[in-house]
Amino acid sequence: MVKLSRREFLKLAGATAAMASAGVALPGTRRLTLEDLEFRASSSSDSRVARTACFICGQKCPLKVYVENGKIKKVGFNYVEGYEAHFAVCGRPQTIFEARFVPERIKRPLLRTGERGEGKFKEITWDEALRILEEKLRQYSPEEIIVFAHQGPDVGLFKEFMKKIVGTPNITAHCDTCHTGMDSGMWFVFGKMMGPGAFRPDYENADLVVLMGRNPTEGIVATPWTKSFSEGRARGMRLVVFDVRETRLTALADKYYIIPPGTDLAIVLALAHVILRDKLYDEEYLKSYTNAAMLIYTDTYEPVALQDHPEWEGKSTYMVYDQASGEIKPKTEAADPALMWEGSVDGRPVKTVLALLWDSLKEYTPEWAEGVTGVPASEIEWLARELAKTAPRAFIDPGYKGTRYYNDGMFNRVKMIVNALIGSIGAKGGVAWPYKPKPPSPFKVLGIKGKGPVGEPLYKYWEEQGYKLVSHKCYSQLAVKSILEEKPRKYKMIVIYNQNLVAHLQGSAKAAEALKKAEFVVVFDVTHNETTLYADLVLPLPMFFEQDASTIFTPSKVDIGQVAIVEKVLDPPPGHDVRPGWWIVAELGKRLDPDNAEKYEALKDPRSIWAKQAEALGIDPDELMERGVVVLRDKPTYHPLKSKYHDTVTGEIELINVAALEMFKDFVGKESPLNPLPTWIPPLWMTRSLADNEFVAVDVMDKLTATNMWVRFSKLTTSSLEWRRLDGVLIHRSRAEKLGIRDGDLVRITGPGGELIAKARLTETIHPFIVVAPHATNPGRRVEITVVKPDGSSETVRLFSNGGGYGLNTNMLASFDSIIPEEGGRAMQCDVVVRIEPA
Amino acid sequence: MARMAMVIDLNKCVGCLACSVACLRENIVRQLGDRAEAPSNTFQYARTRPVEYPAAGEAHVPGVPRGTPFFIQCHHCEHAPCVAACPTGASYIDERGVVVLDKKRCIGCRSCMVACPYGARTMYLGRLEGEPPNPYGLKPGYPDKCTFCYHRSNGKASWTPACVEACAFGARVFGDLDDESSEVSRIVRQGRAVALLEGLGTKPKLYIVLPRR
Repeated sequence: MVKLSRREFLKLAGATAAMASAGVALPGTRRLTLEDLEFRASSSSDSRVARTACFICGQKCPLKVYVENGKIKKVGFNYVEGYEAHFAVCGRPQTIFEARFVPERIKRPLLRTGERGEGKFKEITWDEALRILEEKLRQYSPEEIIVFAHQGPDVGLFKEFMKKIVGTPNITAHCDTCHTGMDSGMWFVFGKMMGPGAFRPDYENADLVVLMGRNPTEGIVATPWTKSFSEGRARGMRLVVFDVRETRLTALADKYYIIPPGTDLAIVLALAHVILRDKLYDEEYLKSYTNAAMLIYTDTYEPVALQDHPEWEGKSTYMVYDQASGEIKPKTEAADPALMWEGSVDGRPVKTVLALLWDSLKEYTPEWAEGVTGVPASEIEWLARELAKTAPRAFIDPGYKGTRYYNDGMFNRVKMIVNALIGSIGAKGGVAWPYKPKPPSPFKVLGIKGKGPVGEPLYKYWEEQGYKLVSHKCYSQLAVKSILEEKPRKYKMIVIYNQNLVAHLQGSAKAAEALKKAEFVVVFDVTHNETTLYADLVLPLPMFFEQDASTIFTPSKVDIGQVAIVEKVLDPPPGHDVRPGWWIVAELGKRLDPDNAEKYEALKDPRSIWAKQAEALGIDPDELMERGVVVLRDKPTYHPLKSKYHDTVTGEIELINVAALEMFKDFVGKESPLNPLPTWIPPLWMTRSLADNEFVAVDVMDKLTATNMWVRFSKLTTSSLEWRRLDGVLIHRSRAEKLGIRDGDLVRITGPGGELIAKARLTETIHPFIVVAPHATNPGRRVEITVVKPDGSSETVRLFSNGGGYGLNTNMLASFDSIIPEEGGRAMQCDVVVRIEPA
Repeated sequence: MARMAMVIDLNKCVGCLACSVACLRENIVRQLGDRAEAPSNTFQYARTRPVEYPAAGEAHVPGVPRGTPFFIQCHHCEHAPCVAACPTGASYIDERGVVVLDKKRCIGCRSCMVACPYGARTMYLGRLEGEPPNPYGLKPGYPDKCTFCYHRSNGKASWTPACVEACAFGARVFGDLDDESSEVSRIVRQGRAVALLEGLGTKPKLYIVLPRR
């Protein structure tokens, strides 16, 4: 017999009544699911259902975890009834029942005893650790401190603490090694840096989707998209894929093409060529929402004239040729602006933006693209026509990773230009806009203000040195460069919060060198990794499901304003004295900012902060607490201009960026990411031919792996890679055999920045030019950490204790110096030529 | 009597491995409080484990996209060769059509493993500390395979196996073929699903909806 409390019974009864009357499950009517009730009924008193969100990749998918007697009984995706299509979880969080026991876990605070990089530590108490940290934070001026912070439930709180209370202006996230190439490409179209979370690919309503350089079935930060993708696919959405290897995604695709790495740009250039050549573009859309009709002087690449937009504050309108009156007039006054027009104004030659675009795309014929990529010209012609025919319910996926190749920025820009040409940006079934509510931070809730950052951030220096389009949030490559070159000053204290800097940074050896150079390095993390080795002080954090988070969350790729809580599922395993980020911040805050001691103490009651955050968003805190997740909208935003207008000079989608025409005029005609006009830029590896033993090193996310963090140490992850013969690097059989390499052999992979020993797995399922493996499955060398305990005994742990470790990390092979000054010093982690030989 | 069956829709499956990992948690790995005790080569013992068809290294078969996933798992045949081959009656088909093993009668002869045309059965011969995660969980020395998470039935007419529950994409459907209103029987009736090696006369109850292309 199921025993219900009166409260539960009423809810269930209410839900049943509502469903019966409306015929559907109304969102918000049913709180406890039948599964939950059954679980409670069938389990002992020590059972509960915890509502949290997964932090294994960056997405934070809402989870329900069923716990009984300290064991994880089930892991399921948490969702809001009626909106199931927007929620899902993949295989990664299913591993937590085993992954929490990975031997690499840091159990107590550690102080270095050996040399940096040697991996010798002793255990100390939290009191001692905090005393040391306080002393160091007082010893160095804020400008001498650099903070690298990546992930985890409290990373935002920690960054805010370092910025406002400690006052360092140098706080960087990791995205210059992740997606900033995409961001800067989007800058040219939308007038501001826009990352993957800024777009909502509306697979669910699409009829044709083209995926290039993105794999929602295996990539990270994808699962809600994958659900929508899977739904769309089951409904009949057609799928065309360009990739460097065959995967589940290519098996799902209607058509797929295996192309050389970094040549997607040639495909999108040719697609744009065909669309312009055959006038397949959406004329009404281009006239209404883009600057296609804008007149530009072709002698100077200046707009004919800009004037204040009559309605959009701070935006400009521009001159067009009005076909209705035959006059040159402001667009806002023209009845029928011409799209393809050339003529003269004041005796100077002018062309429309669309005509200029065509000029710059003329040479990129499908035949040319076939020469670069091997994809038959007829197929490119077909795809361009299909995209135009199916639009606006057709699009090229906005993508995610944008720091693989030299041309990522241009690729992302041209891809979006294609989406604009066919009118699918902002359309239902096209590239829609998400809604991302921003709860006030815990500091804001508690009224902790602080002195704010002190002095100039280091990226200012590099901007003065000529680095363009620098992301002010993500400049980790430049930060390491600053440490190494002591520019603009000597950096003495390095703070690393949940980021495996050495494995994450392109040119790992240089990152390690930078850490050796600093006076003091503190690392906060869950497990040991390639970076903890170089720390003076190591502070252990819990896994995400072993703590209440300091804040409520919006999952990364939200579309209907999902807001979720992250609550503790269970305690860390015995013997682990780990503390959540908010506890550490509270303790440090009390020491460094004693006037606000009470407010810092309040950080230790996260749930009361959640309640206030929820109220600020207009959410009933009780509802959020009970359900774990709520939604604030019923659909993504569909409009070409998003809400009112974009951040471009004209407020429109700019096919040729007006600001860039001025800023980057000198780059016209150059194979540069800053060329205001679309142009082919070969990936760096293509600038010379590959020798028999040379390959382009590519790493990917696999189904259970994520970034450089603990899930890669899980026995289940390792075993899944072994089971699928991905426990090494994939090399094309034809090329391996030439080099005398057999399946299972160890090979030496040498790149400009370092070398790795890996296990060869031969296959026909990849492009012959590449060597490919799941990311961060190779620590570069045998890494051991020895910890001496207070009783004098010691414990040694090796990275990849559960097996594996013979894969790839291109960051260890690539040269630190090949970062891209035109795009903020971002990385290009797969544009690396390596030599392979039997080891 | 009931005929419990499963359908896997390969159009919806994205291959995320949630099913396999959930199965390992539910049936194979032992959570001991301070560690998780699992067989070496853990994935091999998942009672539903992905393989690709054609397998890596094999020639491309026209019409079947390379990388098409398939799952090795028990097909709960109505004419089960493993049951026929069992000399002691340890393997039997219960009243819901689930092929199960009575460990008390099993002599570990592995005839069932040899007889299964789907390669569904494994036997782990290593040591594992602690108790199996459920009464039908993996025990070293006994032939192991999918039980449709029989232990979850608790006497009910239908229940949800761990793999079905873990699939966020709705690719797995479980239910009674004899119940005309069940989604499983609806999909099978519509002819959208195929059973494998039907020609052997095994009458399998694991159905696959093939990729539409």
